[in-house]
Amino acid sequence: MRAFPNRELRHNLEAYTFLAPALTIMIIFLAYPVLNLFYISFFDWRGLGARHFVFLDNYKMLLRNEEFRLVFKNTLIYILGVVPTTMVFSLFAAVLLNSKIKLRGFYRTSIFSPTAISFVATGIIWVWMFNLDYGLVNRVLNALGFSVIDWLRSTPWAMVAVIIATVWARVGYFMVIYLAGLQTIPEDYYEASDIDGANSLQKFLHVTLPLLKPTHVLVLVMLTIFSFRDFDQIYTMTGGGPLMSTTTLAYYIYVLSFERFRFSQGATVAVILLFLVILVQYLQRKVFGEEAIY
Amino acid sequence: MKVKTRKFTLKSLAIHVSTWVFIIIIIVPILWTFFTSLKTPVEIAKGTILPEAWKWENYRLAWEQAEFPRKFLNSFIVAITVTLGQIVTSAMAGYALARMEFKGRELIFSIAIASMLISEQIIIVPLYVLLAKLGWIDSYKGLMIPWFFNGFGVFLFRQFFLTIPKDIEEAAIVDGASRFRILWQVMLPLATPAVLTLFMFTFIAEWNSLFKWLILIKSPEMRNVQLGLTLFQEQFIAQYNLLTAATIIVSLPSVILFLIGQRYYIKGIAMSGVKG
Repeated sequence: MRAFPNRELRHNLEAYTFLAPALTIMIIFLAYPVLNLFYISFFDWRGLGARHFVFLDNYKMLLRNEEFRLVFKNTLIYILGVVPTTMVFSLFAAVLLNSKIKLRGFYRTSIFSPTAISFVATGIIWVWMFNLDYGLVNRVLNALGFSVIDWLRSTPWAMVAVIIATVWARVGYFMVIYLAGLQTIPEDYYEASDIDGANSLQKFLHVTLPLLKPTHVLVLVMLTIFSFRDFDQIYTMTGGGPLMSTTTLAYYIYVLSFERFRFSQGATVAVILLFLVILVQYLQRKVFGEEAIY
Repeated sequence: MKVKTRKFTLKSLAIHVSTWVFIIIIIVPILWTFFTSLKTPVEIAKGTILPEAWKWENYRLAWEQAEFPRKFLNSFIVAITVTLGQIVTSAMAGYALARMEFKGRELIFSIAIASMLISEQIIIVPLYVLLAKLGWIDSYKGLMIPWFFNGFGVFLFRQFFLTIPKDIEEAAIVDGASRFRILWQVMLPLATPAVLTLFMFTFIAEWNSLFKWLILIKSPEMRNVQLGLTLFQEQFIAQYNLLTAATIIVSLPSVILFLIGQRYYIKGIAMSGVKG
């Protein structure tokens, strides 16, 4: 009997030896910064010099600030632009490439390939595509008889351009998740609807679409969380402009902290972003009751 | 019968056409970038689709003017170190979570999962403050050590170890091997697919990373390829042949690695859809 607690202790010790490297890094460079983030957001601090405790003043100021409202609105527009579009295209690509067609492997690799390219490279590719005078997009518009657009330097279009570049880069990634989801649909369902005389569209609407519900939820949540993080393509394509029209929350953290050196304000926006990300995760669990890892 | 065949070919035609529309939308920007990288400025202004004489010279010019050799080295050193670091910490933690009984197991697993929600931008201010205190700004240490933990890696290894039958290690336990030896000599070789998946994910993500370099690096000789590319963009904004060549140079390593290990990369993405 006496040996038992010792053995338990030994087991705990052994397990924590294995966990030590991961836990140490996680605590010092992730958990502690997250706690410190809240702390910094309660001060008036610019990174250097004195800190003044102001408690919730940073939050009050931000919520009243028009610039912050604009950035918040931009973030919503960006998410509403990226998420549904990427979902529809990646589902469509997955359904197409799930059928047994020739060159399927080549097609899949092609659509998936932008995933391997950095978002800096993606940004530059699309800066060039959207170039006012020589860009392919404007050449095509011109050839079709439309007037050209100064994509990256005019207000509604810069956001559209960033959204297009992001969707282009991300469709392949979510196509793979949808392909994995499609594998989970048992063949019997399709055979049963064949017997009922259903056509391809009916099968898609009544079998594929509803049975992919867990995948839809997962893709929706992952895409939303990815979109909250996007930074590199905004940095390379527009630098957050023109007139801050492409500055999202993640980008605003950078602007406040490392362009204007308002560390406390940057931390405050980061806290708000953290809550939004947690909210998305929470809603997923509450509304859909799904336990996915994202 | 006849109707059926006709319907089938129509359907497959529709599939092929839609697929090609997709492929063209994805491929055209890449081809356009590639063709541009081989043109002269005059050809770019004229707007020919294909370059007349393929100017491979642009690649040499871009390579030299962007001062890529040092940036490639920095990118590679950090990417490979972070990747190996993550494999070690994730394999160890994943093994404990999959095979050991201890207090707080569920909690630690949930924390590892939850940690994936926290992006670099969210913690950058306190992380910057911490690294400044440690004197790790503008150093390899600052770019590497904080990234040695990856919640996804822990999850990946835990899931993989759970699929390995227990009797395989039990034989080794009976032989008196320590848990460490079992992990490195028995379990890790069996977990090669998980190792390769995490390798692909982390290496490509690190190679493609901009944000931490943008914030943590001050001196020119510490820059990586992506940061170099953004600076090249600022300097050579009008010279699209060189800028696109530089973009392709920077993208080649991750694209090649991706084409080689695509299978493992796809497995990793599909894993992120597995319920925890």
